[in-house]
Amino acid sequence: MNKKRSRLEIIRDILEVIKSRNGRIKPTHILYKSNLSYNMMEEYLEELIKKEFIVVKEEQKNKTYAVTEKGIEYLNKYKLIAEFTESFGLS
Amino acid sequence: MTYFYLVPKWFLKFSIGIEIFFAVIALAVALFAIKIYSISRQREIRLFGVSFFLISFSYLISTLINLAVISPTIIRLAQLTTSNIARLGVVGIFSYTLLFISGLITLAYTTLRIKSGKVYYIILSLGLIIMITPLIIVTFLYGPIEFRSLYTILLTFRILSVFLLIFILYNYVEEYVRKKNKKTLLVVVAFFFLLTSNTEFIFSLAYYEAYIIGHILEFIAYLFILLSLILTIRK
Repeated sequence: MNKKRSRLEIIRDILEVIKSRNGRIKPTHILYKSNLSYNMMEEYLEELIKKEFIVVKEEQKNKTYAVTEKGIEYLNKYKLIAEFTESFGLS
Repeated sequence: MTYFYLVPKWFLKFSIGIEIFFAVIALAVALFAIKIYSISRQREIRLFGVSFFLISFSYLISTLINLAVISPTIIRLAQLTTSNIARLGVVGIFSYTLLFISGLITLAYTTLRIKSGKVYYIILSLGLIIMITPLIIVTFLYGPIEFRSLYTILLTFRILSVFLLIFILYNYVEEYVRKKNKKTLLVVVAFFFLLTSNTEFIFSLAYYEAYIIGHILEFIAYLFILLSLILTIRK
């Protein structure tokens, strides 16, 4: 059985999914790829928008998401963040 | 913190140096946490950084006051009388204890993983009330803040520190059992030494040897924290 993902891992997974689609992905795809419930996904997306890790674009009634510079930086430094939080019991 | 006549003179300067070391380590952890927070925007990382900032400032205040109190030049320049020195010592120790306790409370709250800010302020207020109340009682009974108040402040402070450190250590042990991360084990050992040093400090009110042992144990604790930080940065 897979171990439960930490909050940081879930954020990384969502950002990876959005980034893998060249920064343009629909919520349904995120839901499918990130392996979260709809409510959880909405909660995380809201948090990521608030933290300016992603931006939402609305085109012809369609919502798409794109990763920002801050989101990219998070992905690049993810290993360091994970190391720190695990060492000091913050994960 | 120096307890004036309870501390042997040969250890006084050494203890100041050692507290600068604690302040630097705590500040390094705080700055690194803030750096990680600026990337991750995780609330608990920010709180962790704040807790180490508070702990670092507590040691800095302790060092500054100790330096002022023992330095003949400063005493002469500031024209400090004996009672002024005693008052300065009490104010310094009180500031140190409030900052250190605030740091431990912030750290304990971080380990709880509660999102409510209200809970944090309630716990912090309770901790500070516990610290201030005995001082008010002593001042009310014996007059203005003076040397006698030191023991009340320090005893309350050490007991509260030990209580908070037991809680923090328990959380780190749980975290280690769950994740089996070697660097978390280093932090567990560090907090174990911090707990034993603070327990030892309770006895330093009666025996100065306990004050020296407490400092050595605290020094070991910060070495472990430093080691954990270095291993994290190096990866």
